[in-house]
Amino acid sequence: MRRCSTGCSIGGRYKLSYFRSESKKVYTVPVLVAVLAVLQGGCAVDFVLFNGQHLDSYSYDAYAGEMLDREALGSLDPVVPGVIREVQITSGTERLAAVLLADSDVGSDDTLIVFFHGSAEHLDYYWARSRLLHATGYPTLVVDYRGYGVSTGSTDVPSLLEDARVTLDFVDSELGAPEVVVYGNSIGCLAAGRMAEERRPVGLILEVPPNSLETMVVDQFGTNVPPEALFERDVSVRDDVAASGVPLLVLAADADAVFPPVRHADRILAHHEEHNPGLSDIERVPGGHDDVPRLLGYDAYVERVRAFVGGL
Amino acid sequence: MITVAACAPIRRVAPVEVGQHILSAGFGGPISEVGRGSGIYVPAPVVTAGYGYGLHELFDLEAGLQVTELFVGGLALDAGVNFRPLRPEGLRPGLIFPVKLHYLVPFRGSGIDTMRLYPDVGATALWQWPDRHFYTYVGVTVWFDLASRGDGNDPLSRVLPVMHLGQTFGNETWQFSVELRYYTPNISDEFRLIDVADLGGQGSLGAVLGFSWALGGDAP
Repeated sequence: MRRCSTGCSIGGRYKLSYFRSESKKVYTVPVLVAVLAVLQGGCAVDFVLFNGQHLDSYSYDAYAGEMLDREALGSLDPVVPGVIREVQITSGTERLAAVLLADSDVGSDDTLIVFFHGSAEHLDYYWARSRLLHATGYPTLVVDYRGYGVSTGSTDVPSLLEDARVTLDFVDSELGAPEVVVYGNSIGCLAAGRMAEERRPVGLILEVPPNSLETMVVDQFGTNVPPEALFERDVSVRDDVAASGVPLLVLAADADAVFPPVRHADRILAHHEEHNPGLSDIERVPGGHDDVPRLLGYDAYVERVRAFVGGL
Repeated sequence: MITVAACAPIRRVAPVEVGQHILSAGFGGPISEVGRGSGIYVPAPVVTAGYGYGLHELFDLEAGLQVTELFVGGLALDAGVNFRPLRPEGLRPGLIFPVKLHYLVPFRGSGIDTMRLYPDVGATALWQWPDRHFYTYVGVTVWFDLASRGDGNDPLSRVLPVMHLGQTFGNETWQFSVELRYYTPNISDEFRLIDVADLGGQGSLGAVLGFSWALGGDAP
């Protein structure tokens, strides 16, 4: 039986025979289930956006499973002991696992890259990417959302945003309130865009971003189905980023079949430029959703991110 | 996945007699990939329930509820009338012209911005098998998307045709139907996040099973 985040349940508990009974008393059971589902807002399908995998612990460079940009590890210096610092962040009743990559203590004079990864697996899957970001010379914090890696719980759109909020709260309270550049990858851009709007970081980087849940839903069905008919809430990266007014770098893949730039990244960029002229830039590669650093060249990718952050 | 266009274009193609009450149910929808890249395609598990009433020899009323959307978090209703100017006879097809209005409102939405109305019109031709209450039918329903999208993208199309080809089995009381559909052949699939079974990269194929039960009225 599947249990959704709002607590309602479908199937499993009530047998079909209840529906056949002539008794008014037992007819109330399926009716009650339906009413409860309605009153609780229904079981949204947010789970289709997330593909978190549980881990007992992180393996980092030694992770044997699939890792995005694994070949980049070969071009990076070995990790010096003390650079990797595992931290725990409390989000509601759940515990989030995060890793700080920093050569020394982070303070208010530093600029910290906060990386909100995509929907796949966990932090180890994005480990090479996290190390590339650290290779820019800036300390980098990468967090696993609830239901990902060592983090507890399960995620949906509201909890994704909440996890991002508590992560930035943690940065302020526990890491000495450095300046923050928020980096979102794919579905992590939902969190990155919203944090840009709410917290006004010094900069924002969006890699292969979705424009909004509305774009995903409408382009899927061909009709203007409101996102709230499927998801817990609508999130518009496009609107959040334009409202934030922060400097923006978009990394787009022209052959991206997940979030084609013509429907997603280009819309975000155009809207941001319309509201904040001169504050946005874009880097394009001719490949697919996961190809940006590889096709840009890992060194060039690191340099591009470093130049953007350094220029803020 | 859920879509209001997965509602049955016509819930009972067999003639509806004056005074008859029709209870109906449907299951199925666009044939979609289960998990991105899995290569496994199944019809969307959209469950619908409907009620019809034979108002006149030429007209019957029809209303429906999308049960699946109720559980996902929205209310999807439709209501309308089927105009049946011609009954099938021999090789001559019968004709049905439905006119409906579909209403969708998410429970999590914020008022009128998230409410949707979709009118639709259609035409179906049906042939009755000799000496049996079996019907073969083919037709098209055209939806009209009145809402504007607020994401900076142009609408894919405001006109959304759904073609259907079906076969019913049963008697004057109950009817079981198997229906194949071709949703929105005018819309390219290139921007879909979840892949669907299509024809040449256009639209989405669908499959729907239906059941209807007639109560009361004069027997045909």
